Order: sequence, then C-alpha cells, then structure tokens
Amino acid sequence: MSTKKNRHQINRRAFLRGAGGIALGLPFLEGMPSRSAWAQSANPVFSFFIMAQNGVIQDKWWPTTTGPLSAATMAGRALEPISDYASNLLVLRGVSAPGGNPGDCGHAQGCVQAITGIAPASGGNSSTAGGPSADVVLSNALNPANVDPLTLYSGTQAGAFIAERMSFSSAGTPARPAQLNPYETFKRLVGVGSTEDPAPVGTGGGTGTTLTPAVEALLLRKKSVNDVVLDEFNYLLTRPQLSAEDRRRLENHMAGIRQLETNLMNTGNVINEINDGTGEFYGCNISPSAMTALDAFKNGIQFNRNSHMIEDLVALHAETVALTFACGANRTAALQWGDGTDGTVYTTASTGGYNTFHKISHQTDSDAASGSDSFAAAAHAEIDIIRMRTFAKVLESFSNYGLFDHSFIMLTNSIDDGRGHTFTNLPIIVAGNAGGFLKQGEYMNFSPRKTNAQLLATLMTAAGLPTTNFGAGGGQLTEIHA
Amino acid sequence: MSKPNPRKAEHVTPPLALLQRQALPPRQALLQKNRPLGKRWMKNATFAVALTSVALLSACEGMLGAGSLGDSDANGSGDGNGDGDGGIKYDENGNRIFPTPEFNLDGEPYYARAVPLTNDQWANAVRDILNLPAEPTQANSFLAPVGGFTLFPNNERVLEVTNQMREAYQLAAAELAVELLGQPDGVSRINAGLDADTFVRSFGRRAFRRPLSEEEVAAYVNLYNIGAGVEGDQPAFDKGANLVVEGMLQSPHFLYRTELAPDGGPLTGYEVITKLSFWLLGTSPSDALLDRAAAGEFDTPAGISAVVDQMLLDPAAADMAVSVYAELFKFSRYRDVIKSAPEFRAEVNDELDAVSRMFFRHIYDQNLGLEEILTSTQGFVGPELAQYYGISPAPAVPTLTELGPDRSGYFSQVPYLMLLGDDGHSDAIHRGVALNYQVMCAKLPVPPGEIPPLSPPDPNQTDRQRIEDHTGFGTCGENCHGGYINPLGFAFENFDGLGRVRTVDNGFPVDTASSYPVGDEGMVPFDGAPELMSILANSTEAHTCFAKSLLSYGLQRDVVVDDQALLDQLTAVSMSDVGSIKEILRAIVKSDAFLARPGAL
Repeated sequence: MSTKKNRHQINRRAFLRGAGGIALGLPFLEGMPSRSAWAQSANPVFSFFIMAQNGVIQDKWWPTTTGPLSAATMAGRALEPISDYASNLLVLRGVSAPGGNPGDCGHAQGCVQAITGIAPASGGNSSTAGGPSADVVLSNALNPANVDPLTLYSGTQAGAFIAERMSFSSAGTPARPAQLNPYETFKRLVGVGSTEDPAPVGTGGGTGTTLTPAVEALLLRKKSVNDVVLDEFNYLLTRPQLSAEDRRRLENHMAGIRQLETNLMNTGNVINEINDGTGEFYGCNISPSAMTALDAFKNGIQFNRNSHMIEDLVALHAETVALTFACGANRTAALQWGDGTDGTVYTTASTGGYNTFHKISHQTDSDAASGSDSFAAAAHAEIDIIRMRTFAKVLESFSNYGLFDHSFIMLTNSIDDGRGHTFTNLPIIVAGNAGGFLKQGEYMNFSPRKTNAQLLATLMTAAGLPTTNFGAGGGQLTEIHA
Repeated sequence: MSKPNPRKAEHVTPPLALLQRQALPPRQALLQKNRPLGKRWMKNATFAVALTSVALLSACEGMLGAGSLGDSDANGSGDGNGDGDGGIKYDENGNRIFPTPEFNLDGEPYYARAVPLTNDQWANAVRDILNLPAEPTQANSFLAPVGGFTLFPNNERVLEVTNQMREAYQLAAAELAVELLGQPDGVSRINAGLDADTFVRSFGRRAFRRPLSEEEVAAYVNLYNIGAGVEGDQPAFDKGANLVVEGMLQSPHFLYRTELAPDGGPLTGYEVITKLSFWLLGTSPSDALLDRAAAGEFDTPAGISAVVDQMLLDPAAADMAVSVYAELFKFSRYRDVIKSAPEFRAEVNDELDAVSRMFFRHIYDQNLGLEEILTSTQGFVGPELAQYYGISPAPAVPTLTELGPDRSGYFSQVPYLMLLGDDGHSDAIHRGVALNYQVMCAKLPVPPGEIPPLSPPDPNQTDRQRIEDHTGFGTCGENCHGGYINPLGFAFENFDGLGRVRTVDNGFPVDTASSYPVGDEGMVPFDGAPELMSILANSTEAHTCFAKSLLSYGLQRDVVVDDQALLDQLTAVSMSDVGSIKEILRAIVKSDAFLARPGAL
C-alpha cells in the first residue's frame, strides 16, 4: 500500500509555491473547482460509476448467502478476489434496467440504460439514451460550470461496433466521448510540466497562499488571452448565418471559458484540498509506482484487445479517478470497461487464448444469444474472476486515498447474462459508504425486483444531490440507506 | 438448404485487371443500361421485414453499419415493397423475389457553419502555421469522436467541444507556447515577421485562414504588449509573440472552420480555400494559397478547379482518400485479427493494414475508382500474407501482385476475408452484412435481440449449409438473410477464414452461387465473387454508395434525401468512362453543396 510519504505531491498550493518561472506555464489551476463551488458541501461525496460488459456467469458470481458479507460468503465465488473489502461493499441482486427485454441490440441497449436508469430512446448499435446519465446530472449540479464529469474508457474505440455508450448529456443525442488514456486525467490535474514538482509533503495546512510575482504574471496572461477569446466568441455569436447547433456548440465552449474568468478572480482562495477537519488533506499526491505506470502512456495509447491491456487501463483509470477525487478536482466519473461487444481475447485455462470474450459470453461460437457451450461458460467464469482481480485494484486505490468514507463506486454491467442480453438481474456492487449515507458489508437480493433507476436516485442523493426520482422513476432504494 | 437458382449470370464480364482502364466496358453503355437514378429508391422505402421474425445472426458483432428500426413493418406482414399486395413474390421456378433494398439516406445534418477542426486537422494546422518539423503530440491526447453514430468520425455531429476538449486545446496552446519560448529560435522559426504588428497580421492570417480585421489586430497587439511585459529573460518580442500564439490557438477563429458568407451568396475565396485545404490536404491553407485567395483566384469556378487539380496531386490528398476507405472498411480492426491456425503470426496484423492502405493508395494514384476496387485482380502482397495467397517465394516487402482470377477486387483479398472470417471458417453472414452496408448502402433492419443459437459444426455440412439451416430460406431469418445477407456472403465461400482459396469445405465442393436483387433487374444470379463483383460494379446502387461516402466525408455531414440530385450527378461520374475517386472529388467541389452555404443558392 502506498502512503503519503512516498508519493509525489501535486497539490495546487504546492504547485503555486513551486511555480518559479514562466517556462513552467500555469497548470489547470483555473479549471479546478474552488472551495466556494462546494460551499454547500463541506465534506463532498465523490461518485464513480463503472460499467463492464457481456454479463457474468450468474450462478458462480453472487455470494453464497444474503445478509452480512464476508470472506466466507464470497469464497469460491467470482467475488472472492475482493473479499478483503467485504466490509466496504454492498452486493445488490435483483436490480434490473427499466427497458424490459432487449429489442434489437441488447448490448447497446444495456449500455445506455446502465447509469441513465431509463429505457433507450433508440435501438441498434447506435442506441441513444432516454435521458441524461447520473454522472452528467451530478456534475451539472455539483461541479463548476467548466468542469465536465470524468468520462473514461478502456477498450476498443475506433472501429468498435458499440463504442462509448455510457455517459449521455440528454435523451437522443450521441454518447459523450470518453478518454482512453489515464495519463490525460493525471495531466489535467498537474498542468504543464509540473509533474516533477517535489514540494515537501505535509505543508498543506494554513489558510491562504501568497502568489509569487511570476504566478501573478501567468494569471495575467491567462486572463488576457481569455478576454480576447471571449470577445471573439461573442462576435461570432452575433453572426446570423450560424445554425442553432453552431450556437449551442459555441455557447458551450464560451461558457467554459467564462467560468475560467470567474475562477481566476478567486485565485486567492482556490486551495481546495479535501479537509478532514484536521488541516490535513487525504493525499492529493500519487504513488511512484502509479506514476511509472502512467508514464508508459505519456505519448498515447495504441489499444490492443489481444492482450490484457483492458484490465491494466481500468486499474490505472481508477487510480487517476481516486487521485482526482483526493485532489478535489472533480465530483464524479464514469468508466466504460470494454466496448459494447467487448471482444477482448483473455487467456483462460478453458479456451486458451483464441476466442473473443463476446463469443464466449454467448457460449456459442457465433453471435447467437443463447448458446450452451460448457467450455465457454467455464471461460466466462474465469474472466469474471480476472475482472474481479482488476476491481480489487480499483478498490485498493480508493482505499489508499481514504475515499471509502467520502465516495461510492458503483460497478454494474450492461447486461446480466451474456447468453440472452437480458437486464433483469444486473451484477451490481456498490463500494464505499458515501459519507455514511449507505449501508456496507451486506449482500441483498431484492424480490420483487428493484430498478437501477431507484438505485441511481439513492446514490445521487448520497452524492449530494437529493433525488426523489431519476430516469424511469420509482423513488429511492431505501433499503440501502445506512 | 436453399433453393439454388440454376440460372447463371448472363451478362457477367470477366475479371478486370487493375490499370487496364481501356479494357473496361464502356461506361456510357452501363449508364444506359442502368438508368439514371431518380426517386425510385423511395418506392422501396417501406422495405419491411418483421423484426420479430428475423434472426439476423450478425447481431451485435463487428461490421454492421448503423441500423434502423424506423422502417420495419411491425406486424410482419407484407413484402415491404410498398405495393400493398401484402404477399411474397416468387418467380416461375419458385424462387423468392426480393425487392431491392432501400438505399440508406438516413441522417440529421446540422449544416454547421462553424465546424470544429478534427484532431488530425488541428495537429496538421498547428504544425504548419508554427512551422514545426512534425505534428505536435498534444492531439494524441484529444478525445476521439464517438464512433457508430455517423459514417465518418469527421462528421459535424460528433465534433463536440466538451469542457475536456476545451481544456485540452487550452493546455496544448500553453504547452506549445512554452516550448516555443524555450527554444532559441522558436519564435523566429514561425517566420511571421519580427515586429508586433507584422507578426499579428502575418501569423494571424495563417491561424485564422483570412486577414484579420483592424479590431482583431488591435486586440492581439494589445495581447502582444501584455506578453512582452511579463517577467522573463527572453527578448520582449519573443514573449509578446508567444502570447499571441497562445491566444490565437485558443481562438474560435482557429479552432472552428467557419462558413459565414452572407445569406444567398457563395463562400468567400478564403472560405473555399480553407475548406479545400482541410478536406483534401488535411491542413490549413499555406501562405501561398492565402495569397492566391487574396488575389481573388478562388472567386471563380476556373480558379477553384485549377487549385483542386493541384491539390489532388499532393500526397496528402491520396492520404485523405485512403483514410476514407480505412474508416469505411474499418482498417483499425486489422490489428485485432487473431486466428487459432498455427501458421498465423502476430506480424500479420500490421501487414493487413499496410497492404490495404497501399491498395487504395494505388487506386487513387492511378486515377481508378469503384470498378477497380471491386474487380481488380491485383493486390499488394507482403512477406506475411504471401502464404495465404499461395505465393512463393514471399516478397520481402509488400508488392503489387497478380492474384489470379479467383480474386476479384478488395473484398476478395486476404485482409478483408481474414477480418470477416470465423477463425478458419468462412463467415458468410458478416461478409454479406458488410457488403450490404459498405458497398450497397443497403438499409437492412437491425438484428433482433434474441437470436437462436447456431448449430454446432457438423462434419457432414459445409459452412454454407450450416448458415442456411440457421438463417436461410424457410427459417425465421429468411427475410433478411435469405435475399440480402447470405447471397453476398456466399459468393466468397471459396475463401476460408484465413482468406485462402478452397474448393472443398469439409470434403464437399464449395457452393458460391446465389442471387441478389439489383436495381430494376430483380434477382440477379451469380456464381462466385468475380461474377458478383462485376454485377455490383455495374450497378447504380454501388456507385451511388461509393459517391455518398466521398460526399459525406468531404462535406463532414450526413448525406440525406435532399442530396439526391447531387448523388445522381456523382453516380453518373463514377459510372462514366473516366469515373475515378479524383473525378468524383472534382465533381463534389463544383457542387453548390460544397461551394455555397447550405441552402444559399
């Protein structure tokens, strides 16, 4: 486990102190929310949604008995690799997506319901959502206007039959684009060339920051550029030739810049490390091992599904999400784990290294929905365990940053069972108590079933946005309230 | 089993060799035979297949294009040809007659007047306006457009400037400015003057692709002065110019390509050259081109034609053409191809991509077009693929090679057959789906959610028989697979999943005969890929589909029913004796859709 002492500190205050010259540039200081943005939420709760693909082998996945969750009830099951975190987990069975049976492309339709909690607006592989996704709604409510939710991806993007289908701004629009490279999330935190800023750890206390003249000059430059650019946007928007879509796009772009102006005005008190009441921050800093792993992707990623790159990227994304939360730089994130018909070629004892996960999940050597190949079923069960080992790394990152008491992770899947594209018994794990709002250490099996809309409404409330109904509605899942 | 049609194709031309333009059948004759396109597709607009009764096996895998639910006949009755007869038609031999599939002109164009640069355009433009030796790496971190919603990723609908992208632009501008200032000759290397006013006007024209207004000059000179006055050891000019660069790289005038000509008027010369340059060369117009715009050279059709002819000779234009087909045929998936055959080596993956690019590059360079893409018997073969073609000794580097009469066009070459191969087996369904979508622009319904399982391989069956049992005539898959998907795939049954020629499958002779509804000719029979490809190469639908792709890429928007007249023109060009990618590009440039603001003329 990493500790504060062996991490590179990248908190903003340290950065400001260390920024000694113009060549360093200014990091995304102004892109990070100020404390005032979260004034209503002194102890912010962070939310991380993860959607995996192709379902699970249901009869080998769930804990053995409902009730208290323990290593014993997870032993021998797909969840065994995460049993160290049993006390931080809620395992929820009997939760369905509201869209009923899949229509024409269950994978895509499952994806677009996963965190929207509402039936799709359209079908096919280009399926769109029936409403905005929870990450977007939370971000709009809790992040400053110029901060989008982190939207992340591990899997094939270019050429994928179903690429990003998780995060949606509104009903009927294409999905929001997602970032494949976790290094970019890290870079947004630290800005230009400041990753080697080794300011001593533990200097984060105090109430304010005196800006150096150099930093003041940098801020002046930023503000001057923004002034010019904003004038240009304003001018462009006066042009009658623009279409409505042009206007929307330009106005969104401009709104982000305008928010920067506001944040720049507040530079004197932007320091925003999460304060646990003792003046110490949890650790807006990164472990050397994670830094090394991230550096490998400094110059980009060539994703290859013929390896386990997908798993490595999920773990690294989670590390940067945890870091982002610990730095207080974003309230919410969503990670799509595999393209909609994830064709990763996992090495399993059951099938060797040939068949793609999608075909394995259908348990037939084709795209038919309902195969019964026992070797494929065994391979899928192995893949479920591989994925839980990855999820254990996700949990470890959140644990290392002390985030279980200040966040939740919702792990779900676009479908429940690979054979039928069904959404009725989604494999869902919620980790973290979200500031004490959520129960932990339990395995619940709902009968009659609940919907993920109810779960999402509950989680959004836990995240700081009181929500009675979300997506398809139906109120909250009060059973998981602490 | 299907009901094989005993008739053979009667008007099939033999495989056509690449580069033998003079040997092609006269295009005019083809045009007469295949009457000019009108609105006849529309009569098929209700091509209906009951979703509930269709098992389209390809479901959620791979190569399908965007499907549509909207045109399905929900109650499953009728033949979907809109004639209201409510019945399925058969010919005198009892073979079912399928209507020509509806041509896909779905879309929701924004007709944007301010189109964000694509990531590639941004990188190339930054390289050129800053005089950098190579593309800046920052674009590697930009968000990629979301796939699957539009035909191409340069489509206006998926070029969204999210806050993440805005930050990325901003960060990139800051990084580039820092890099410039950190190099002794960084600012002078931009070669845009050495005083504030000259630099702002000169670099500004490059960045904004037009001269700056006096107000803009004043704003940026002011920015220059702020930059020149900040702390730092560098010369004042460097610091000032540096801030101008940082600012302009964040300006909407740089980040968006605009078409703001007055209502009713054509694009300005600057807008024209910018549009051409980004499209054909992938970058912003050079100083020389901007000078020519200033001289009014692009205000006339003749001037525009002249510069287009020059641009089409540029290697960057060939790259653009290749990228169209790389997107369309999903070359990015070649790196994921994997086979259980012991001879399959991971080195194959790169070669699949490389030889595919070389083939389309060759088509472009040699002034060829769809006909040769579909019927050429030549292709590029490198050291890895030679064994699959049965070529020995293997060439040391990919080389243009005669592939023999069995291989007709790109879809008979190893890359495509291997990509659309079910491990070592053929994959008639995915091959057929791909050709329907990618070559014919056929609008097939998306597959149903519940698909019955394919039976296990049977040693007494061929791959084709297995597919026919599952989806062919008399099954619930007949409506989609029987007439549309399977026939196009079956033509390639003499190629296994590794793209190798085979004459027997599981000990039985392969069967490559089938029929497909083409134009007004009804079910046209064929036996094998060469015959099928020749039929498609003579079909208006395939040429219109070919033109549609180039048009959609060029206009960066969906091509829809309103574009029908232009598509008809481009189809005629593609089917003419001089039909080629380049000629279609030339015709697109001359169209109102390209030269004028949408709806302006």
